[in-house]
Amino acid sequence: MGDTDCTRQIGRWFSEFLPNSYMIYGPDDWQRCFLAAADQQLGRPADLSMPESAATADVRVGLLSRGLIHVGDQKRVREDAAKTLDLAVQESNKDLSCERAALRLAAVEWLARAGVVADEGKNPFLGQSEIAASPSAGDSERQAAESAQVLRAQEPQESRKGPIGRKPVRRNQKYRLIDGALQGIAESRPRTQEEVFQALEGRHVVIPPAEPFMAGRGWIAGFRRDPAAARAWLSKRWAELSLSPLPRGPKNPKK
Amino acid sequence: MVASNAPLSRVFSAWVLRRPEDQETFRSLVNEAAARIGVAQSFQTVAILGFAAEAGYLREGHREALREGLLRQAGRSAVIDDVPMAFCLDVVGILGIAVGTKSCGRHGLHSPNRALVLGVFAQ
Repeated sequence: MGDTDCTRQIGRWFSEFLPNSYMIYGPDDWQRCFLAAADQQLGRPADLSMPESAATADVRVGLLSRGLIHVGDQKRVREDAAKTLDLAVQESNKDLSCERAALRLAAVEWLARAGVVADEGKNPFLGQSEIAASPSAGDSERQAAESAQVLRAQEPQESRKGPIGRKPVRRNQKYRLIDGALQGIAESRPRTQEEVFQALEGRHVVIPPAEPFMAGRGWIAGFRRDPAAARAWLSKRWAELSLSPLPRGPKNPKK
Repeated sequence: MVASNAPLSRVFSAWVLRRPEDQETFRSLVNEAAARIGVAQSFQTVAILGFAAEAGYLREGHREALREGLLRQAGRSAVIDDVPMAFCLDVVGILGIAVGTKSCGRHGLHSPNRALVLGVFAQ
């Protein structure tokens, strides 16, 4: 039996169970990324789509670093790169599975080699030449190198911006923590803004240097002190992070 | 990080990070996996060989083990008595099977010197 037949057989086998693995058996989003990458390897016999949640940006970049997924939207890749670095800074690795942690580390190292992590022109890891695939490299290495080129490629007018195409903005460290927490909370699909504040309180997330939370000295206390101001603050952050909108409609429908 | 001593987890981590210091572990686990034949060859065993194939670390005997393993896996039922088999939820294993299959399809199981090309896991 030829290798092509083997590929076809595995593809057919995948198409029998991968859709259920992806949709029904309840994997986490990062695990869906693995399944979608596996599907892509064999020409998408199960037609799985790659999850796009911000919380799995590191997984996509890690898979990209190994040439396991294709570069689609270049802007999206750069956004994923930025988000990966945020995740690496904001989220503890201690609750990650070892596979996820390894992939995140691979993603960050790859971004470093691509020059994305470089701070003020200094690359703490490796020289840029090391990202280039040799002419004799395998397909995956070549694809990963091409992806790295996408990350490095900037429009001329963006050359004075930060290494990933955004203007470097010095932000309060608290906001980095808060943003990370909000992204995690968004994944749990809260129904109301109050639920978001309760989740922030429950996670003991540091409060921002903003009212009404400063005056209330807490998320829930601040919300109760001035609900309108608290809602306005949350709406702004929610929008800036491009998180999925909360469900519309009456929150407490009359029975 | 939730540590795992499972061979597949260790192989995946070594494969994805490509660190020279992991090379010995990687080789050792691949050799162990390749030594398993017939029914002793599990889904994880084949996935390990899949990652090894992609990395270019497969000796002649390993290649045959991978081929046999892939064909055996392809014949397995994913659901028995309405219960999904464990491999349906093993996303790392599924990825290993996929990259191994692609590696076979693209380069053939007898592609020479791929290990030398890729360097890190070179013999």
